[in-house]
Amino acid sequence: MTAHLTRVKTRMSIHAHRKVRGLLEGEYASLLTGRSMDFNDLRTYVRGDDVKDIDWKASARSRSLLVKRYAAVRKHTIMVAASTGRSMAAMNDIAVPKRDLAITVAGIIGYLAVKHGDQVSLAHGHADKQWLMPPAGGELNLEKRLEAIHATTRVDGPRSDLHAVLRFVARNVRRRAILLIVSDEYAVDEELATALRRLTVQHEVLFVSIGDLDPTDAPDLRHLVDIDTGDLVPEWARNDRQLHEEFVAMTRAEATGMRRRLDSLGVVHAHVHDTESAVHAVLRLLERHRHAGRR
Amino acid sequence: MDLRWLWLGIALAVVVVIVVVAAVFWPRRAAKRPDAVLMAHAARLRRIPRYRALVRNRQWATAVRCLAVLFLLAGTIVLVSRPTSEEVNQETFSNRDILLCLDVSGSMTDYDEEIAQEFSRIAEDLEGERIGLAIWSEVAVTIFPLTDDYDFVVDQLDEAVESFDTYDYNFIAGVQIGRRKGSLIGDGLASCVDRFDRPDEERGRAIVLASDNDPQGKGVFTLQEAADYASDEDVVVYGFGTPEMDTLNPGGQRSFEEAVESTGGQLQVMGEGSLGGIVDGINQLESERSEKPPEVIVNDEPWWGAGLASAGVVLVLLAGIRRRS
Repeated sequence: MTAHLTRVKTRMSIHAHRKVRGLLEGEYASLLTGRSMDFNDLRTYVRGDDVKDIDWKASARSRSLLVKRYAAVRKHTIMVAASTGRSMAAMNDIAVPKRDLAITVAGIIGYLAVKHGDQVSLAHGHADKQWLMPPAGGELNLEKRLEAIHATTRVDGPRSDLHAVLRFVARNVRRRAILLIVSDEYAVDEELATALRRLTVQHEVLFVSIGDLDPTDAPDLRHLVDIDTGDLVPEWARNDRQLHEEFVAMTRAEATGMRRRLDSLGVVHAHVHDTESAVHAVLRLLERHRHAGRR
Repeated sequence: MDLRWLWLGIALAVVVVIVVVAAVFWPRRAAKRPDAVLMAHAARLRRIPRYRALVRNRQWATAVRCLAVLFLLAGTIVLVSRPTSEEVNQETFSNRDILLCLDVSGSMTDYDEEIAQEFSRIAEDLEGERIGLAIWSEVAVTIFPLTDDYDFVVDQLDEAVESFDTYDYNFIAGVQIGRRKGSLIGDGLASCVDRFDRPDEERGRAIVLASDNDPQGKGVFTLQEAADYASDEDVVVYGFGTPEMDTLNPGGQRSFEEAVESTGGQLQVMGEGSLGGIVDGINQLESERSEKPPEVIVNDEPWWGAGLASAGVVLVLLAGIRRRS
C-alpha cells in the first residue's frame, strides 16, 4: 500500500545525503504570519502593534522595542492538480514512464506537506473525467492520492487534457491552496494562460512540467510509437546526430519559453526532464517559490 | 513492331495492376507492436528543420525507388511481350553475274561504245551483282573479271568507252593473234562462258553478247555449239545484234537469234534507243530467274524493354547508394 511514498522517500533521502542532512527541514515556507503558540521571529515595534506582543526581555537586551511574531497555525492545503491522460503513461526515458515521474514530484511535495502537518488534496483527470480527492493529512492519505494518479494514468486511457483538469479545479475548489500542477505540457497556449490567470488569483500556483522521451537518442532495439496517434517514429529519425542536436535545442527552448511565460503569469515553473534531476528540480522549485513569496 | 507474346505481357500487366490495387486498397490494420516503446508528443519532431530535410530526402529516395520499380516492371512487361519485327527477305538481284562480252572487230566499235556507256551508267545503281568485261575478236581477252567493285567497274567501262571512241588499239590488243581471223562469235561466246567463276554457287549468270555475227574465218566452236555449251553451264545469253547483220552475213540474224534463244535469252537488234529496253529486259528476266520465295525473318527487338529494365536497375543502384550515404 505504501509503495509509492516509500519510493519517494528513498529518492529524497538519497538526495538529502548527497547534499546536507536535514535538507528537507525548512524547505517548506509557511505562507502566513499570524497569531499562534508558535513563535516565529522578532521584529521592531511599529506603531499599531499590540502592546501585548512586545517582548520586554528582548527589548531590554537590545535597547529597542521588539515585538514577537508568531507563525500562523492555519493548516495549508497542498492541492496537486495532475493531468493523468494517456500521454502521461508514455515513457520519460526508456525505463521510466512519465507517470512515475509525476508521482515522484507529487510525492516529494506531498511528503513535505504531510511532515509539516498540512493537508494534501488531489485533482486529477483526463479529457473524459476528472476526480477530486479532498484535503487530508497523513502519509496513508498521501499514498492513496499517489495511487490514484497511478491508477488513472493508463496507456489505453483517454487523451490528456490539462485545461479540463484546471477548469475542474476552478469550479470545484473554493479554499485557497498551494496548487501544484503536474502535467506534460510543453508550451503555454492562450487557453492555458487564461486558466492559470484565473487560478493564480485564488491560489499559489506551482507548475511542474514533465519532459518526454527523446526519440532521437533512444536505443535502437525497440520500435518507438506515439501514444496518441499510434504512428511509428521512423527508423531514420532515430540515429541522426544533427536531428538529435536540434531536438535537444528545441526542448530547451520550449522549457525556457514556458518558464518565461509562466513567470509573467506569476506561476513558478520547473521542468523535470529525467528521474535523476527530479528531486533537485522540485527543491529548486520550492526555493524559488519561497523567494517569490517574500517579494 | 509486333508483340509476339502480347497475351503474356497483358497477363503480367494485369497481375501487377491487381497487386498494386490490392496493396493500395487493402484495409490497413495498425501494426501491433507489443514491445514498442510509447512516447508522447512525437509530432513535435515535425517542427524541426532537420527532420523536414530528412523527410524530403526520404521522399526523393522513395520517388527514385518507385521510378526504378516502374521502369523494371515496364521493361519486364515489354520484354515478356516479346517485341519482334518481321523482315521479308527476298534475295533477288544480289546474286547475278553479268559478263559483257563485246565483239571488238572493226565494225562493232560504235556499238561497243554505246553498250559500255550504258552499262557504265547501270553499274552505278547496282547492288550485289557482279559485272565483268571481256572483249573478243579472234580470241577473247578479259578486260576485268567479274567484280562488284562498282567504282572500279565504272572506271573501267569509262576507259573502255574512251578507247572505243578513239579507236585505241592498245585497248583491244591481244584479240588478234595473227591468223587473219576475226569476229569468231562461237569462240568468243565459249570463252566468255568459261569466264564465270564459282561454279558451285547458285547464281544467275548472263552474258551480254554483242556482235554482228559475221565471223571471218572458222573458229573452234560454231555459234550453236557455243550456245549449247552456255546452256549446259546454265548461262543465259542476251544477244545484241547490229542492224547490218543480215547484209553482212545472210541468215546471220536468224542463226544468232536461234542460238541466243536456245539459252533462254533473246536477241535485240540495236538501233536508236533500243538499249534501254534491252537492259530492262535483262533485269526483268534475270530477276525472275533468280527470285526465290520470300523469306520471312522474325527478329527479336528487345531494345526498348531491355533499356527500360536497365534504367530501372541503374535507379535501384542509385537509390541504394543514396541510402548508404
